[in-house]
Amino acid sequence: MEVRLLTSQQKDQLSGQLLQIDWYFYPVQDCNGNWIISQQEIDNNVYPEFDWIKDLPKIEWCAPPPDPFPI
Amino acid sequence: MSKRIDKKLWGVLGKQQTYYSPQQFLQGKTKVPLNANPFDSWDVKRSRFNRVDGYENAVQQGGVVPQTSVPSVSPTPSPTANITPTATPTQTSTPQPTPTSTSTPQPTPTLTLTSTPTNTPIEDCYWNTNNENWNNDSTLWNDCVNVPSPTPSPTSTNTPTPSITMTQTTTSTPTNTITQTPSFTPSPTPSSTPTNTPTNTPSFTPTNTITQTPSPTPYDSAAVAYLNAIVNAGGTTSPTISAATNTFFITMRSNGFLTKTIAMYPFVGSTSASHVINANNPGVDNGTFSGGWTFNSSGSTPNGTNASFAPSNLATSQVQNYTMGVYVNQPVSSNGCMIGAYDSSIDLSQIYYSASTNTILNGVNTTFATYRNTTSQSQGFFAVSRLDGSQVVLKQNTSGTTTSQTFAANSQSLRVAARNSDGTINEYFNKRIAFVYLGSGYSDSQLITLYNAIQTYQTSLARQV
Repeated sequence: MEVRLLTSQQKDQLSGQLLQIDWYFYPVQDCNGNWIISQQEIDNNVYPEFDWIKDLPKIEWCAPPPDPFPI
Repeated sequence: MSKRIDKKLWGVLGKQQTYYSPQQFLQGKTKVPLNANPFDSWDVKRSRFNRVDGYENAVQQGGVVPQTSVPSVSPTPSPTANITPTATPTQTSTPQPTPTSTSTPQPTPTLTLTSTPTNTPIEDCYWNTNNENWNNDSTLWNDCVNVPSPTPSPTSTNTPTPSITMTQTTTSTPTNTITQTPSFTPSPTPSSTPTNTPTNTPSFTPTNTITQTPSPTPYDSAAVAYLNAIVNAGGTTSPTISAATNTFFITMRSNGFLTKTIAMYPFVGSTSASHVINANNPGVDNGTFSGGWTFNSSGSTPNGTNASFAPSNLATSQVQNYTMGVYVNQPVSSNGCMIGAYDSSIDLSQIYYSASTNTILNGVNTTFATYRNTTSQSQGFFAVSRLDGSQVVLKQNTSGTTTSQTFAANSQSLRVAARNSDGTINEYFNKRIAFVYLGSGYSDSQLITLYNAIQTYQTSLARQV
């Protein structure tokens, strides 16, 4: 699955911001510590000020290690 | 013609018989006077008028009226026939005294007839073969004595009367008869009434159908509020969705579950804005989405990477009686938390799927403990409930267990499709979710009833498992 790579600065710009009413951007780190957002967030963004995310580079998703919490 | 005033040789329409006055008849004479009852003496075979009720006088009269024919129609027949029918039908069709008065118009004679008492067969002033009003020379026979004779120009005088009467008689009487017949007889075969039959039949049928059909289920006000909220949020609805939603609310209300509900998210409307709506109280405790989601008529699908849904700001520690449930309509195959949270003290509330053991791990406000519900089917409605400080019930659809566990509060807010791990969102889930439920504590049987309600709802929406 492909995701979009963010810089640390871009991650801060998007964190806590709405892409639609009641729907937030949510940058997370992959297995390599890279900040990413999903393709769905880019596809569904309705705010022009965030149009730049369409130009973010694509990378393959690598899941981070599981939560150490014993389940 | 006899000179006795109490008997007559009756020659009406060719019948030559001796009849006696009513008084004589009562004294033992055998033959009933023709004008004792107009209809009784009606000879349909000889009259050019037919009784509208089809009753034959020969039968009614018990044979008194002979069937022997006497020829000559003579010139008389005309007036005879005309007058006879006039009187007869008028009395039969009791309803209409009107016609008589109507026919009153010009000829004086008619007026006399009309004003005469009804119980006396005065109208039955028959004419004999000599074209005479034989009653005219009688003072006792009946009240016809005052009936003026046709006089010299009977034709002109009589003609108008009968013609008017005839018109009214045939019009009113037969009309009634024909009309009533089809209305009572559902499907009269006769070809004479075909027109009426079809008209009456359908007029009854549709009425009944319409009456029975309208049993529309009344709309639940909460369902209406939720459906309106979906539309206002730009979501898609349909008659099917509306009906299914209404039925669901009615079921929930009838079971007393609406008052036990804190929030529920049916994920209906196919848009993010409609899927965040708290159906229990639209606009209050609506949820929020984060990360990558896909929305459609089957529910909300998280990407398993960074997607989660915050149902509300509610923390499970706020209530000791608490239920949470998630309806998943895709087979689960990898680790992921359908709904859950834990705090720094590791007080856990979650419904988690462990792929390695194909086990659903459930728990509500337990201290580092989970309840394992092993099942071969990794989809459906998963629910866990804490009834009080010690009992925990867990369910997958209708199966599950109940156990005791000490209560430990969890201060973190829940996340759907992930877990709020002491402030960090992780354990992402990647299967489609069709319903999220949060409420107060449910017993084992109540959870089954809740499942049935939700399952029926999903079935109506054609997205059940």
